[in-house]
Amino acid sequence: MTESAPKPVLRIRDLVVEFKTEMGVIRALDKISFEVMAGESLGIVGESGCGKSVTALSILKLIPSPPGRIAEGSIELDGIEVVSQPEHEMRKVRGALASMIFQEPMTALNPVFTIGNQMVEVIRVHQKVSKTKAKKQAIEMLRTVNIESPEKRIDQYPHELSGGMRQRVMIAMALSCSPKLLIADEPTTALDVTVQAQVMEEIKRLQQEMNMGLILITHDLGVIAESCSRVLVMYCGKIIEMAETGELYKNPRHPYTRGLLDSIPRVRKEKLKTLPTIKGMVPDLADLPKGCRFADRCPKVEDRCRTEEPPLEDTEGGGKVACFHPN
Amino acid sequence: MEETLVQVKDLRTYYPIKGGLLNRRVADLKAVNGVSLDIPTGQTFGLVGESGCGKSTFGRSLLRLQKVTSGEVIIDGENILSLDRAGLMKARKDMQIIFQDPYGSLNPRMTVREIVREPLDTHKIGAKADRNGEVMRLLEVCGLRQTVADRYPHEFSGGQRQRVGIARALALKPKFIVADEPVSALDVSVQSQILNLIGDLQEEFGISFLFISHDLAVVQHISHEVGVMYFGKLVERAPAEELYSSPKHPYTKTLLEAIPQPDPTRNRTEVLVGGDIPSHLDPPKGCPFQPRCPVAMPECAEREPELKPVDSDDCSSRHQVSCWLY
Amino acid sequence: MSEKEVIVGRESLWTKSGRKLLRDRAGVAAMVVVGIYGIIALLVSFGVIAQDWDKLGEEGFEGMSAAHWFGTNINGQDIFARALQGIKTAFQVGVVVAISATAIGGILGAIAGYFHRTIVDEVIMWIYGCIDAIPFYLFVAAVAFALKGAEFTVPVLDLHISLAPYAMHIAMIATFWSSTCRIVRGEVIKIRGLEYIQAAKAIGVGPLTIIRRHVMPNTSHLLLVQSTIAFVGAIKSEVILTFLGLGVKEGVSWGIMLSESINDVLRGHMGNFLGASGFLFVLVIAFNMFADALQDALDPKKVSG
Repeated sequence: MTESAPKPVLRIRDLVVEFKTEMGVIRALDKISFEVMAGESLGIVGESGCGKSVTALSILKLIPSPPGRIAEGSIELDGIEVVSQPEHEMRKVRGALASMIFQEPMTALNPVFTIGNQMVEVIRVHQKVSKTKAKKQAIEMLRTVNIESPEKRIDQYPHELSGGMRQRVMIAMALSCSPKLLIADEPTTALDVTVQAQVMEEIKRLQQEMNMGLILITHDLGVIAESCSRVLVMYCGKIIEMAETGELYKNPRHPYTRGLLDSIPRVRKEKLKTLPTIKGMVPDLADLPKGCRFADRCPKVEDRCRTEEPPLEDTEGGGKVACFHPN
Repeated sequence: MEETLVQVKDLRTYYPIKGGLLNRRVADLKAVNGVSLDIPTGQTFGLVGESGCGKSTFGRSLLRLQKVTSGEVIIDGENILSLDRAGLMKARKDMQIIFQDPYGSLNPRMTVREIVREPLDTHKIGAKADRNGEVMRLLEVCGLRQTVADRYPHEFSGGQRQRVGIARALALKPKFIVADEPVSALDVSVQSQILNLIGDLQEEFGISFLFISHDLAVVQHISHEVGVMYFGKLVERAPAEELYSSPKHPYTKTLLEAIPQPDPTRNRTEVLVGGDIPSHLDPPKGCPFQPRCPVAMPECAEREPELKPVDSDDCSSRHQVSCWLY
Repeated sequence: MSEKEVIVGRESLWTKSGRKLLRDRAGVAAMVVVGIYGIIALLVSFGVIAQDWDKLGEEGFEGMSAAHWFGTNINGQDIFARALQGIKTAFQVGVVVAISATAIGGILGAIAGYFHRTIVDEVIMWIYGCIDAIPFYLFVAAVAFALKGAEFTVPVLDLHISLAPYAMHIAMIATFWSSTCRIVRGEVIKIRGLEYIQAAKAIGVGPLTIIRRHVMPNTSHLLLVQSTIAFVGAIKSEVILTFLGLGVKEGVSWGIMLSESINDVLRGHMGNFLGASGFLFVLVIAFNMFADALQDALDPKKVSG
């Protein structure tokens, strides 16, 4: 045991999450494994239906059940096995060990209580402190996330705040019990670009100051580039590529990652006549193709891709990729 | 010289703010506060701004889907705002709209065929028997297979729904289409498919577009000219290349700077602006961007700048900005 | 691949809802019970069964027997036959009130909602506000009184229909529409903000066509659920009103049986009481369960997911 060796705050092994639907049972997550170290920021990127939000929800066991359930695998949060944890124990884990911020700060806050009320409640679930003390802590937290005049803001209702401000409140609430892992599920998608940049800066700063593990879930590879040290690309419930951020952007191995990077709307030097695209669309989870799930859309598809599913294997760049013909 | 198809002069759309005991109108929310622009035939004007800047209201005002307070909207020589019912009905054939939400923009109880056919039936275009063939042609143009015609919207993905919405807008062979954030609700890999489709349609049919978006990166490749809107007004407009290569207004620069780039080595060169869009109930004095502006001068808080050519010697210049710096 | 699409496709929200409803076991059971009631009501109406309900017997207050399943009443009439006749009466009132009240409420609600914040909306809201303010039973009594001797004349056919027996129906329709109207109005206010309505406007579709084509079909799930609620409400009210002497005057109703049973029960004869309340109880429970299942199955948010 050396001080310097980073300890994983989260370790997921062969996680399978299933949902019962009309089309039968679908696998929203199909044997995914990854780790997050203390102080590390991991980005999870993918399009709708790839399982990125399901991953986030499973870590806190917040999968709506039924229809969903964790079918196999293990999730270790700071050494505690979450999958077998009963609900009342989970309540202690949520907020204290790991907490989460969501895309829509308006619906995540209860409109009939002041933000002070809601923050005090969260603090008092985990800490035995008086209401006045909890309120003081709440004000301190609001100050930490750079909300101006927190003494005044704390007695306001969610609708009196702007979108960016609400998201800051959500962050303050999530961090009020100093969790070891923060899961941010599309935290800036609902915000305007200028505000988005501010909020991302805030999350990054706090993550470093508090030495938390951070999982940033987003569809936007741009957001990840600026805030994460490692990236995980998901497609149809599988991890298809995993790499250090610099490496991934410089040298994407999987054709899907490549396509995703190319098709991001970005300001380019030259005006393009046609934007690069990935042809086709994400397949239905209930009706996945045999073999590689990306085969139908892949520019490099071979016969083998249609019969065999490529395993996630190490690359020479230090990452992992699930493809028979990586770049 | 290109021909101007759409000309908007000093358009204003106010919403009454009601309050007090008798629920009287106490003030106006100036959603669109004097916007003028023109779009040549077959070109796209990209209108960019953050939520609440009035860009959607502006788009809907042009098509008279929204009650306008004052101003003129001239499309193909006709002032849309002064048309009577019959005239407006006729004008609707020339102007259409594509919406953002691919889930809310299609009636869930109608099949794709019924949805795309509705404009043809409403305007009694072609013989009844031929309309079916026309629907099929439109679906094909928009990249949908004909087998989908009898399916319902809930059976489609977001991108496909958006294609149905575009087919519906094209049915009347409009000269002008307002595209209100048509790709913001879509997955990244599908976004560029739809953008390319819109570009192709423009080339093929010579349609003029007003392309509304919150994202400067999205409109770059599709626009001939770009306007940036803030707090109900245009603060800068320029030919697309010029706006991206040499933005003038501090707000435009901020927007460009704030776009997350898929490049981990990039360092943001400029300081991010803080704060939020000002409240309409308590508008700032002078320039509306002044409270957030990193380069504000004392003058900015006193008088509001007007939109005028950057290069004052060249009055025909299309690069205009409303900022005291220029 | 396209082969498969054809099979998966072409499914409207209705068929999808239907499938969902059939998977709900309690819902299906309730539907079967309601169906049996419905068949009995039809058989009774067409004179197939329970036609001897008013035949006087020699002996009153007979116990249960093979000839008289539920025994006989004070006049020696067969209670089981009377209870089956009660189903017919109840269904007749239920169907008429449910269809009329829902239709009126639906249409007025759609109009009020679509013209939200205009004088049209204000007027409709004012009307249902007024009607809601009158106590229901007082209202029925007043309508019954007002319609005494009133006649409705069909001009060409020279038909005269006395309105008095329908006082109860009219009173219920006049009051039951308001809840449907309020719910539909709320839904329509939501729908009219949706972009497909804007799209229809942009195409140039007129307001009444928009209401008919785009608004009404998207409230139809509410109308179905509301009509089942109105149906149960009407049946319960019919029984209570008749019990109080304000409802059915000719024929037989569970309400009449229950009012007879007041004296019966004192004599220890439970036939009338158990027959009428048992049939009512089972029908109301089954219908409520059916309404719940219907609501779950029809909710477009849950269905279209």
